[in-house]
Amino acid sequence: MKEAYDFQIALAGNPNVGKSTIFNALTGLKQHTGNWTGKTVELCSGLFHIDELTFKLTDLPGTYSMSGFSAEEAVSRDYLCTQKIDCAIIVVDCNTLERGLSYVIEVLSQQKNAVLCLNMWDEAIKNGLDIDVDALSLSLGIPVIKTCASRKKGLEKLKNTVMSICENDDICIRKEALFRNLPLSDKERFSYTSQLLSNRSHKIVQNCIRHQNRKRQSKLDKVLTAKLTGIPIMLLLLCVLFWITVVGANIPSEWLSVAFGVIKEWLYQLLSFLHAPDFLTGILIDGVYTTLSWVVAVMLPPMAIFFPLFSLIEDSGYLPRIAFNLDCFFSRCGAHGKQSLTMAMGIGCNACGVTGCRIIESPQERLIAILTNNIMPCNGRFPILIAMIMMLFAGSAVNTGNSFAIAGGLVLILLGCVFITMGVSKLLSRTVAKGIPSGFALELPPYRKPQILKTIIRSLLDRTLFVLGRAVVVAAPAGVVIWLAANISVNDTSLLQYAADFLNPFGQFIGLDGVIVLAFILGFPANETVIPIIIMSYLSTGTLTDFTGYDELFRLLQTHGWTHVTVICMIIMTVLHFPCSTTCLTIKKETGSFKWTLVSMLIPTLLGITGCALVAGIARVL
Amino acid sequence: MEELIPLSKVPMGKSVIIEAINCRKSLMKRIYDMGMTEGSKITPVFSSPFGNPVAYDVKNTLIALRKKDSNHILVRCLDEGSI
Repeated sequence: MKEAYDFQIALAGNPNVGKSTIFNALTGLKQHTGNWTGKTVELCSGLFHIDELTFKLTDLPGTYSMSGFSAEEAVSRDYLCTQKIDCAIIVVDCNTLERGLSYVIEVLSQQKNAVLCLNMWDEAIKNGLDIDVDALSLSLGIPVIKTCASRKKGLEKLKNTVMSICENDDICIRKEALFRNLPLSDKERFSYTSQLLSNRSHKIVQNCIRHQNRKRQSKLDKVLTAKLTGIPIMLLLLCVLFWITVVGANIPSEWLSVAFGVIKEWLYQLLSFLHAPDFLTGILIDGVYTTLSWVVAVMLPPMAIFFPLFSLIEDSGYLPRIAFNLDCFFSRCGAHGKQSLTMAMGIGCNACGVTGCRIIESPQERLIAILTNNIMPCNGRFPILIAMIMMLFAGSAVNTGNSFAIAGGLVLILLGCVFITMGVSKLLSRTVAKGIPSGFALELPPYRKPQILKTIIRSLLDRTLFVLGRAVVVAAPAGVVIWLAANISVNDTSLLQYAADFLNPFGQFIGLDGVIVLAFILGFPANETVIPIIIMSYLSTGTLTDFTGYDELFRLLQTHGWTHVTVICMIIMTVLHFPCSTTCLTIKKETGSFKWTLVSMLIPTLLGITGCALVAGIARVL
Repeated sequence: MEELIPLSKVPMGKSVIIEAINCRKSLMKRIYDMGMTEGSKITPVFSSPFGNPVAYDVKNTLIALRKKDSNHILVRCLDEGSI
């Protein structure tokens, strides 16, 4: 899409300085993301207007410097070098001005026309910071403006300054030539430029900052990262988060199911009104529509609750503390502390957990986190696990009264998942993911009060709909396949039955049966459909049906030869099998590699098959 | 000139000056990006519940480093009272 604009503006800055808040405040929510030639890094751009003029604002990736080799840094550098930028808005956090200045000077070495945004000015005042704006402007040769983007302060002035810079060429006075033509090796170059920038920033700051409070451990950190209270508070918070998600999601899930059921009736009537052939009705409604509505009804509510809550915690600055608290376990497995967060996100939805791995900067640890994310059972698999645990206890006259045992069983399974994740991470770091350079230097940003409403809207738009969109794309064709397999019959036996019979010997070998194995394979688009497919096959009906109650389900399963061993193998297989198609697609997008997608499918599947075969083998011997 | 010690041995709350960074190249870049360069001041502020990693104050920001990495950063102690 080519848009007409008068001036091109670039927005640059370190991560976590309120850059996106400024971006959103300037452009509103109208923006579109696009990949920058051949790279996976997304550049956001949007338009804003001053008087009659249109400005195109492009948000560069938030990085700490521009001299490195990471994709984000290369994109920023290329963009500033090759595009004709009329003005760059550089954002820094007043409170970390000295470090931010290194980046500012680096940008100024490529870009003469710029304005410096001293963001979070109100926080700086609270911290007893006094910055001499005129002196800073003089040292840098560009206008400097104080802003507080979250309260929309200083933005009008920023706009006007941008406009005058675009229209007059004499406001910014110099272009710095920093590290051109230095005959140095990479290591020396980094060291040289970093020190050069650091020294200059330090000198500028000494001239401009009059008073600065020394940083001590904040009161919150004294509690949240302390030896005694740190870990319990963290566990409690995660439990509350999951509890709200699980309990809160049930009600809208039911509403959606009912609504989709009503719409289904309408669709039936519409198609019969149009005299559509039965085959078409079956494939469209029983196939595509039913699978789609199933996926949406089950996935949307938990995601719509979990992601906004998670975003709120993210914006408060607490997430890095969790990584900080747990890093010592992860570092022993060659992984990154932030993997704890992506694992937690994986319990919500693996596709989101995989996307979340972007927060891990170092490539090796990011890869490990992506490849192992699927071992944490997601929302779609939780109901299967709960049903299986209930079935384990069902024989001994245990009803809902024994929810304590069920919760305990679930916790045990989750602990097992964490344990397996650690083991696989360690294995990966020693084998396939070895040799890719890594580093750990985690920034703990100050605690901030999140902007609740904006965060919720953003995370709904960006994360929830994004993942849901991908789910829908894969669920529709899968619905067609399942329906066709169940309804095309040769010699009075459906293809589904043929496939189940074919898979039966293998299924029996790993303690399951052909139908269960087939259900896992057909459940590729969404794990939620595994149980319905099993029921459908056992009952030999042609459409997906919901089971009416656990008791009825257990009776059905027992008449088809399920034993305690089957249930245990089912639990193992539920946790350890290939990721759902949405997650696979996401892994492919995030790693950009077919090979790693395949590895991520193979590892859990092989582990699961081995585990099940072992259990079944031991059971046979006993 | 005082003797250089690894950053990991510096007690909490004591400010020191970074003299040499001998980390792996990949981490080096990130450490520089975080504002830890030769000559800058750094102060250990608090450690995680299990003692490792440790959060450091550098240029008014908090950066956590693992012990095995901070072992390779050599620092010079400041005299009491000087900046």
